[in-house]
Amino acid sequence: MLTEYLPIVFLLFVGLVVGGVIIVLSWRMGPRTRALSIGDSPYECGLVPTGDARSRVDVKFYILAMLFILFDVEIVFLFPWAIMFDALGTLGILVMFEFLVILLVGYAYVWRKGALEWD
Amino acid sequence: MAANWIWLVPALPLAGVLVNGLLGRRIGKGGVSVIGPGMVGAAFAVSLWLFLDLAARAPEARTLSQNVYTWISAGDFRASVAFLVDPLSATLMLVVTGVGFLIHVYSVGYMHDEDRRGFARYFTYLNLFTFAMLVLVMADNFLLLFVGWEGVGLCSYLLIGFWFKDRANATAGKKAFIVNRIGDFGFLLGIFLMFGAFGSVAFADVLPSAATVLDAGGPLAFWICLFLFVGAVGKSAQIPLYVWLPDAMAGPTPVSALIHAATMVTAGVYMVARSHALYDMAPAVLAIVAGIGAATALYAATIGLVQTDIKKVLAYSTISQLGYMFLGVGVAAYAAGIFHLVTHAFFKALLFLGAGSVIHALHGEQDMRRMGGLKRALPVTYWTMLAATLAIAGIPPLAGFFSKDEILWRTWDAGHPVLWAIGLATAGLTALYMFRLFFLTFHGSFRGTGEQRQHLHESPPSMTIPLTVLGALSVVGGWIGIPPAIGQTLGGVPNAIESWLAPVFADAHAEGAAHAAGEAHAIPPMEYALMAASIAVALLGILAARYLWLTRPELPVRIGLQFRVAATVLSNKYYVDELYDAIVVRPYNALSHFAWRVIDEGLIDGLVVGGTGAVVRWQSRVSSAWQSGAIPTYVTVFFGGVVAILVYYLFG
Amino acid sequence: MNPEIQELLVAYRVVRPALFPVLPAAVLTLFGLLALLVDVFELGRTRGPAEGETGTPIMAPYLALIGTALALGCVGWQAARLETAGGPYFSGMVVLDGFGVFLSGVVLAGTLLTLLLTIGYCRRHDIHLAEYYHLILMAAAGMLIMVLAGNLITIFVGLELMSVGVYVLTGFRRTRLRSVEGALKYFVLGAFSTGFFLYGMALVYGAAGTFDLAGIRDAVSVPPASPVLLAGVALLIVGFGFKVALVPFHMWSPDVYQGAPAPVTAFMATGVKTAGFAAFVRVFMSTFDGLADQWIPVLWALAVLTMVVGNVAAIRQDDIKRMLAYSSIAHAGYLLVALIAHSDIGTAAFLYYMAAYTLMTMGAFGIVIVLGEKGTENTSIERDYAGIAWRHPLLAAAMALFMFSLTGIPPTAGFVGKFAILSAAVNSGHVPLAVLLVLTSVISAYYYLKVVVSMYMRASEREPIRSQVPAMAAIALLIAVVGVLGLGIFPGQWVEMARASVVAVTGLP
Repeated sequence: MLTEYLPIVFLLFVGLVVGGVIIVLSWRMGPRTRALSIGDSPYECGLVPTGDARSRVDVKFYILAMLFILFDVEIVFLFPWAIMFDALGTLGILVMFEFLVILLVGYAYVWRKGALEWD
Repeated sequence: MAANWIWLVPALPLAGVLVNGLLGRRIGKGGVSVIGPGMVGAAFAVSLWLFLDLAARAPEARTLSQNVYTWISAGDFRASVAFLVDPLSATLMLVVTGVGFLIHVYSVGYMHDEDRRGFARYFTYLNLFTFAMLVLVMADNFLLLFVGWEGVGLCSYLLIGFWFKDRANATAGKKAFIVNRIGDFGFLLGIFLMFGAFGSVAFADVLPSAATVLDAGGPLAFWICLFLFVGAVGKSAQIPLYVWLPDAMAGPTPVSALIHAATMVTAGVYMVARSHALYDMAPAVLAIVAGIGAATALYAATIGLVQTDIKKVLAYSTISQLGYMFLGVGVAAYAAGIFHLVTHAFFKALLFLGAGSVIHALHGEQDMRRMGGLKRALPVTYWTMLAATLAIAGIPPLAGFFSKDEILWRTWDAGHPVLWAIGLATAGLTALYMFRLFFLTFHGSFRGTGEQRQHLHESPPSMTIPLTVLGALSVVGGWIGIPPAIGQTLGGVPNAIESWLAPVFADAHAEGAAHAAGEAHAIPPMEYALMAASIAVALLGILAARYLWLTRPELPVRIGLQFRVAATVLSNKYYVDELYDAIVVRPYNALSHFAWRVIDEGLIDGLVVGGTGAVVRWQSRVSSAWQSGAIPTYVTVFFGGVVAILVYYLFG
Repeated sequence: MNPEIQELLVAYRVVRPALFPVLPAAVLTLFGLLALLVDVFELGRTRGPAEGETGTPIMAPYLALIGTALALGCVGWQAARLETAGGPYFSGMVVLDGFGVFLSGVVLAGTLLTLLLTIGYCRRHDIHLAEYYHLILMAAAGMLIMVLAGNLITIFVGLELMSVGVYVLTGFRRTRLRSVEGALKYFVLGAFSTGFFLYGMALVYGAAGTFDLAGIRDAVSVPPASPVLLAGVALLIVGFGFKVALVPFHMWSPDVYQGAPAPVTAFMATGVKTAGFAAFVRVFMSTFDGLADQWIPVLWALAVLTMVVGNVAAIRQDDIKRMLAYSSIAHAGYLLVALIAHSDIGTAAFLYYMAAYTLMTMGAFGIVIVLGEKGTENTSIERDYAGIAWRHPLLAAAMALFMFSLTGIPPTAGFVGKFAILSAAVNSGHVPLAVLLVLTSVISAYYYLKVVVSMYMRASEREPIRSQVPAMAAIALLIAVVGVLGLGIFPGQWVEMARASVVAVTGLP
């Protein structure tokens, strides 16, 4: 039963061997570079970066991004509804209305809490 | 008619609980000391009425029952809050409420130094205790009996720890509760097995059909009875679960009297007697009961011999006397066991209350080495205590003689000469250590401080009146059970208690019923011989005590030095507490510590997380970020569970 | 008549009966949103102490209370109309049966008590955010959805609605390190377990071709069970096991329970557990009924582990919230025994125990809450609870009652509940499990009693706790006391109700 998985094992094996061989070879045969040479810099050319890449970002960006995703995803639900609008009829309108009201409450909350203001 | 009022008996003390508990501080000490004893007294009156109603009927018709309401009903399972009054429970009800009432009255005097709040709390607990015990003896099914059973355990815990400010008292209360829980565990399992076998837990369903449902001597009967007996061992302080009772002395003295005499510890004897129909199907368990009873009787008596605390002596004496009762029921002499329970209730309550009176007079002194010569100062206490001590020593015609002798004779008659010999030896020891207590306390010269001597006083009437009543009962209480061997010579005095209880035990012991009716049949000469032997042993014990502690008081000390090892072992109570500490308590603590520290935090954390340097570094990085390295641990455990379940399903 | 209006009427007639089962959840949602809205528009708030500062929300707590009470009323209506209630609702996504309605009642009772206890707590600890009430109502709505779910997707939606709310609530005291730590742990591990739950759902879908509980039951009723299905069952056990804190998926709960604000802990210990168990029992008792031989051994092992580890680890705890966390793990083990009994009696015992457990746990946490002081919750059993009986005799008596009930001493609800579970287990032949249950509850006597001993038999060595019991909390405690005693002394009709509620669960539409 497990024979079906043989190709995967084989692939895994080949992957490991090839990867390992290449690493070992490049380590053994490659030129020894000195520390702090240009090869260690992020782009090896151009501007020298200042500071750390893992610096703090203002939390407002996150909030904005999250709000965007939130409302964006909710709006996505409108598309299938719009396509099926005729079939869903009045009931569909009511349900979507209810959905939008809840969304609106969320929006009002976000707005009043000041999450939409940058300063 | 009377059956409609059965509920009053437990309801009255319960009303006392509510009034004292909720309004206790408002109505003050005066109000509490009326309500507390009053409610129990009223319950006694109702019990007496029920008893008389019962006695007026034909022996077969002596059962009253009242269904208050259906408590649990789940499918086939039904348990009711229903009370049953038959000769057995009526006897117990009278003892519980009667002796209980006297103890309540006594407490009014004994506890008068408590503040208002403590006083109310004390009587609340005391009433609750009485209520629980009444539920226990009046229940008409095993589950309700269990409720009372747990109830008395709970109350004893509250009362033993009453003076909580002393840490030892709190510990003693807890010990009592935990040891009792072990017994209760067995009892509950017994009930479950019984329900499995009979489909019911009501006495009316289980007991009559025991002979048909269970095989005599079969495994089912064996296990049911054994588990029930485990409960009895815990509650009635028999080997090996007796350790809580001596420590329970920490509570106020009237509480000790209540626990030891009227309630609680007798519950085990009552339960075995009540379920005798089951025990008759399991002779092996009966043999265990008798064996444990006899062993406990002797064992506790030897410890009682060397204790110096007056209450501790009485505590071990209770354990020893309970051993007698179990010996009695163990040889299927159920009526004799109950008879001893009743007489013991009289004289043991008296002994404790008398000891309380002594302690009261000496302002809390409990060490007998600092007493002596109190006869003059405490005349009422002295004479009543003398009656009780003679009664427990088994001197005719006091109460203890008849009941103890009945048990011994039935043991011999049932063909257990060894158990009989143990019982006889215990009787001698009982006389010895009880008179040791008596002489050390009341005779000789006073060994306390001068200040104590100046304040010596007899107790107030609220304490001495109960003493007197109990003293009278200790003298005449045994006359309800005069054996035919004596009754016939006295002109046909019947064995009242045995014929009264006969309807309950009749099916178990047909021969006993005939025996009880006092019918003229040949009395074996052996019975007289054994009776003479036990009187002789008791007298010997008293004389020895007189010689050792009055005539030659230096002798016991020399003996103690001579047999230092034995004396040390005895005064340390055979080191059983230490043994339990070593084999139960410490491993238990270690286990929980192990589970918490080692498994939960150490092993997993240490092994999984602390294994390699890389993991440690990773952990420390996670730690600094999240203030805790525990999440990886948690995830590891979680994942371990997932893998285990998956492996079980896919490869198991 | 105007055709548009007529159409609306038709729609209304369609919607109205369909809404019937979710009415309580809808009411909760509505009031939850209202509470949020009024507060965010600064209505119903006291004026802040200084200019520009916010005051205390006044209206939000009452809206939440009213909403919960109304929802409870709706559940009562559902219970009364249960006989005539048709179905299926939402194409079978939601089922309305006795089992669900009973547990809805339990969940809402727990929510109501939480709210009553919360109001004083928030005032005492300066939590002035209406979001708190909103989140409680939304989480409760999620619980109701879980309880009534007839479809794995519905269970999942309810689970997430509940969980997200509770994650946030756990970290609500964000200036306190433990609170934030607990929230983070709960969230990370919760997400982890959700992954397993979803994976399990996917595998079951793979085996059965549907998410519908009744459909799955029909599809998997033919043995032998495929490995895919079994793997799915296993992962669902893991997912549920996490939510109800079964060993070894319990590791989060002591930290989280200790860290969360006490009312939230109470809410978690009762509501989350009830909802989790509701879905757990429904799925395993009805959908995987035919696979009982497959899941009983696994749950058996989990029950043994849970009872032993929960009880043994609780002994050493000094923090009462942590002790109650381990205790609630242990109780999850007892509840699992009722499920393992795999019978109507077992399910009835489960329902009864759930109600009893909710009352006594709520009560115990209620005492913990009212004994807290501004800035500190006073949770050390040895230090803070010593000698409380003299300063607060009624609170101590109530706490002792809850402790005795948790131990299972008659005549309390805990005893009858434990008894029901035991008799169900013995009835189904699981005697060893019953013995273990009794043994472990003997162990539990030790640590529950420790609280009583500390309260009654130790002298306090710290300055006395000055704590006024808020009126609302007093009401909550009174309800809990009456409930624990009532269910213990007069369990008849409750047991009856639990039994009657079971009838529908095994016969899913």
